[in-house]
Amino acid sequence: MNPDMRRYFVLLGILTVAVSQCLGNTSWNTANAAYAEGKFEQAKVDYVQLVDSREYSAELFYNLGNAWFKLGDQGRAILNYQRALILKPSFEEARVNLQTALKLVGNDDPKTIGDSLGAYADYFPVVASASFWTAVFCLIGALRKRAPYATFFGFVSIMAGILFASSLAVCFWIGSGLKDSNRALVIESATDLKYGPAITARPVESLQIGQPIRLISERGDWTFCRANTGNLGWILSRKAERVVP
Amino acid sequence: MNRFLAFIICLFGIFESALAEPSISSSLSEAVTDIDHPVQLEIKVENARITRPPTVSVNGLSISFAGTSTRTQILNFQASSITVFTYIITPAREGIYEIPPVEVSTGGKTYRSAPIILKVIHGTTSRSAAADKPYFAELVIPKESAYVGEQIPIELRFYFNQRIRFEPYPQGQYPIIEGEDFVTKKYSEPAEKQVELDGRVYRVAIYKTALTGVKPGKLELQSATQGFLITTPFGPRGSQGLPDPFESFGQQAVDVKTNGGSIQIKPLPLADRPADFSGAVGEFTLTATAQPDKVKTGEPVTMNVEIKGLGNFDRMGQPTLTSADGWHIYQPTEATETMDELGLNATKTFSFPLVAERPLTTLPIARFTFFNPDSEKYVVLKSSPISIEVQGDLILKAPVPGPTAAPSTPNQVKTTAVPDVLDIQVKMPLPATFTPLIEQRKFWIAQAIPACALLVLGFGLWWRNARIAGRPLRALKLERRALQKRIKSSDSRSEILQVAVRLLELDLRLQSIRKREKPLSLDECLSGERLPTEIRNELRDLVEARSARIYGHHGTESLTEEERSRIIILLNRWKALMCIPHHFYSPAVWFSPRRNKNGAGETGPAAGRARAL
Repeated sequence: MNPDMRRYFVLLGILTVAVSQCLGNTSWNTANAAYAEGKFEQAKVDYVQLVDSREYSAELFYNLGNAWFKLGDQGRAILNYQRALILKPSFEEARVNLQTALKLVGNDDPKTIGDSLGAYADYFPVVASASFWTAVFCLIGALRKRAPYATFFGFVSIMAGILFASSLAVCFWIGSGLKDSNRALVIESATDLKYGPAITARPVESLQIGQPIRLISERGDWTFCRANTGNLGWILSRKAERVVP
Repeated sequence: MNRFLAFIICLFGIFESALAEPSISSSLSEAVTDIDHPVQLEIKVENARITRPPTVSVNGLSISFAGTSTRTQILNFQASSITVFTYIITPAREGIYEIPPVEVSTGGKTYRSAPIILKVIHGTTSRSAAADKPYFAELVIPKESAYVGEQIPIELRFYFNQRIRFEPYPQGQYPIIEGEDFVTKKYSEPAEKQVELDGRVYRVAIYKTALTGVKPGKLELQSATQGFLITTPFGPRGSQGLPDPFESFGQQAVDVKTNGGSIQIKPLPLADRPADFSGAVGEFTLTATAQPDKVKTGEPVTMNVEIKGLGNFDRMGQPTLTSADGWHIYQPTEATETMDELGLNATKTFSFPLVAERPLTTLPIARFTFFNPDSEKYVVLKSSPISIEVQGDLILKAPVPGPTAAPSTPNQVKTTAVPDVLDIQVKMPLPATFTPLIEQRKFWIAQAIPACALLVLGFGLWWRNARIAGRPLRALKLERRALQKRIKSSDSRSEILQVAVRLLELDLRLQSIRKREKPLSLDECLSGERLPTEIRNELRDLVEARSARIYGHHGTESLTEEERSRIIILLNRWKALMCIPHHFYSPAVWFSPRRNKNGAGETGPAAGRARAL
């Protein structure tokens, strides 16, 4: 490739990135402006476009949740607040709005330990990794003959080993946590978990808006899933949406 | 004896005279029964001598006389005689039957019992019908009709013969009620008790819940099913109270199904429905308190509105605050304290944060509306005015975002703030991903850094140890190289001989280090027979020549080139031997005798050459 051609392709690449970045900013600003003017439907459409272009961010899902809330769809608002919190567990505004929306739909189910830990599913591998390497390096220090502070290194190695084993166990237990691709939330009211994939099937239990379920398989308009109470059953697919988009 | 009989007769006479006023009453063993399932009617006549059973007949019921029993009792010196006439009533068809009053005449007077009602229904499983079974269940619904949103406590009773042991299966599973258009509350923990039915003893597991109809119409509950794991003893029943150690048991999982039932769900009346009715159905009371009672404008006051009573606490909305001019009302927090296991009887407290915008003397009035299903009317509760002292200046009304700014209605019924959410984020978002960290490449790249550091550390340690271990070997090699140079450059006979012997010793030393064996002295090596005889002899000659040169001063001082080359050749052959694999010419096996093909020691022309040295 001659130098002129190479320069041309580099310039084209830079231009493409700049334009896409600029368009992204524009959509974000446009959506925010629409929201500020009270045009929640338009804001929602703009935010959904950003989501469809896979430009995920906690702030985007938070704003989308707000737009759904203003449009009166508490189920989808809860879903998007949850998404925002998955991407940024310390997002206090999203937590407050999620509580408000849950309260509004009457969902006062306490969070399970698994869900609470699942929000920090990405932190445990970091802890496990750091403690593993600390344990290994300190073990080398402890096993070396005539090494200074061998006892100290041995102690640190044991403690780091225990921490590693504990965090690894938590990692295995919670798996992908809230980022589990089969995790979904109920987004519509009057949702029954049924014994079979039919309207006439008798219900196993009633599900509330915002209640998490685990999707297992799909058949037509119906999805086989497990509720957080442990019950298995079928729900209409449109009444739940995956948390990971 | 005659006196005693007279006394007894006299005593009876006294008791007879002391008998109280006659009375008659009738009762049924069950007020509700199924077709063809008999119930027992008892007519009890007190203090009257009736020998003939009264006639009882009702159209649609088959009534047959079963027997009479009489007893006399004395209580507080008051004697009474009781005669009970027992009848068996077998209903032939469905309906509500009135068993007419029964009349008896005694002492010229007529006494009459109260009429009683027997309800005969069709299609239910009454206890009597199921009494022969080892287990059965019933659904108990206390009401025939209710309003939408009204909570109806129901019981699911599962009866098991006392010999059967049972437990819910799977564990933690609760009964499933078949039907639609209703919701139920969470079940309370099942209670267990023992009851006696038709002379049989049953253990009963009772599950309680509350049912709420969600739309008007006839609510059909087909049945409720619960799985149990039952353990049943085989063979005839042994002595009561004494466990039979040889009794065997069978275990099976069974689904126990109750009878069905229906409730008429009535819509809440639209007429006279207050605007602020929020769905509370039941019977409630309202009290309001506030803390503190003296504040300045802009400071918060907490007004607690307590709703207490029996009803659907989980579906009720918050009370509204009226006469709230000058008050800024924030969204309340809620707390519910239940008094029973189902949460029907409870106290719900709404805590309103209020901020006075100007000096005021009274708090807003709390207003709560509910529908009372007993009186079938809407009831409006209002709190009594609460005095408060608010001092300070007028403050500007804080803007309330979005829909929280509720307009006040002309009749001053001000609704409280509708919940709103915090505003949107406008700063540029940071990209994020839903991919779990352990599936991200950067995580594993980050792991490679300490892994590489570990490898480098390991290699460094190995290198260092290897260098320390190889230090003596290197020194020997250096010395050997220097000696080799000297042997080529020196002309002194004695020096060359000394150097040559030293080289032999060095080679032996190097060999032992390489093979990690005990080092041998040159003499030990030469005294063994594994070394080829020719070389051995030449080496001995070399060693002896060196000794003679040092200690005897024999021969010429200078070395001829022929002798130098002969020594070099000998040393090379020796060196070549040193490189022969360990198993063949190891110093360890040099001491063992080695023979040539003919079994004799090796000899050759080189022996003579070495001797010349």
